[in-house]
Amino acid sequence: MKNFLFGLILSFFLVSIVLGQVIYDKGSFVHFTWSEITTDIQGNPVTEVSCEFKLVRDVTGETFGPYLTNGTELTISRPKSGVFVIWGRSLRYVDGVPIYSEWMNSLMPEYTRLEDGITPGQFKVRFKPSGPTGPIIIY
Amino acid sequence: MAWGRSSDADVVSYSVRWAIPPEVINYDPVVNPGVNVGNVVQVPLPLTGMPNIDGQLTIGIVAVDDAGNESDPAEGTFPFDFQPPAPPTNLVVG
Repeated sequence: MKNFLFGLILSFFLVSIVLGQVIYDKGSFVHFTWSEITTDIQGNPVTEVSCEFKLVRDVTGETFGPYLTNGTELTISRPKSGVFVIWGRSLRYVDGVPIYSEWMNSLMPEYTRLEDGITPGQFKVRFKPSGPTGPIIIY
Repeated sequence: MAWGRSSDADVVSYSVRWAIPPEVINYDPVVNPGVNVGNVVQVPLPLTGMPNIDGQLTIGIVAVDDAGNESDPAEGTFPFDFQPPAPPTNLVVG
């Protein structure tokens, strides 16, 4: 992987750890941030860099996105229930042609940070399915 | 026993677990997988594996999606009498 840097710094509520991977339980959306990208992979300054992200669902491999932004934070509404890996890459336009970085994802410690904003870690995001509704009735 | 259907279209089944109070239900699917009753919203009791109890039983129901993820449970404690009758006695061939 090239030195292209994303530092994902997420805000979290509930956490569980499975096989070294942190799973963050989210409700109806996930919000995450990353460091501003100011250089290319050779360290030369760049401007007007956008980022796109997608969510890839465990087990089924379904992909949701891409979600594109010019900023350094993104909120994605729960696409469906499940456990998801966040994938991201940046892009900038050169003479009208988009130039993309390599993909990173939330299982790559070199590109991610846990909730303290410092510790590299591997994580996924979980949206639980909606539970049974109403009371249990015995009749 | 009946409950309301999950609002999620991804839900493909429901899993039922139980415990005798004051014990609480363990929802860890590895330790206590429960009984998968399929994509239904009512089942006759007792389920296979339930204790022959005459007393309180706490029952928890979770929705399970197509990737095996479980919802938070709906839970309640109810009185049951699952005690089977005594077998026939004084059997005589006449």
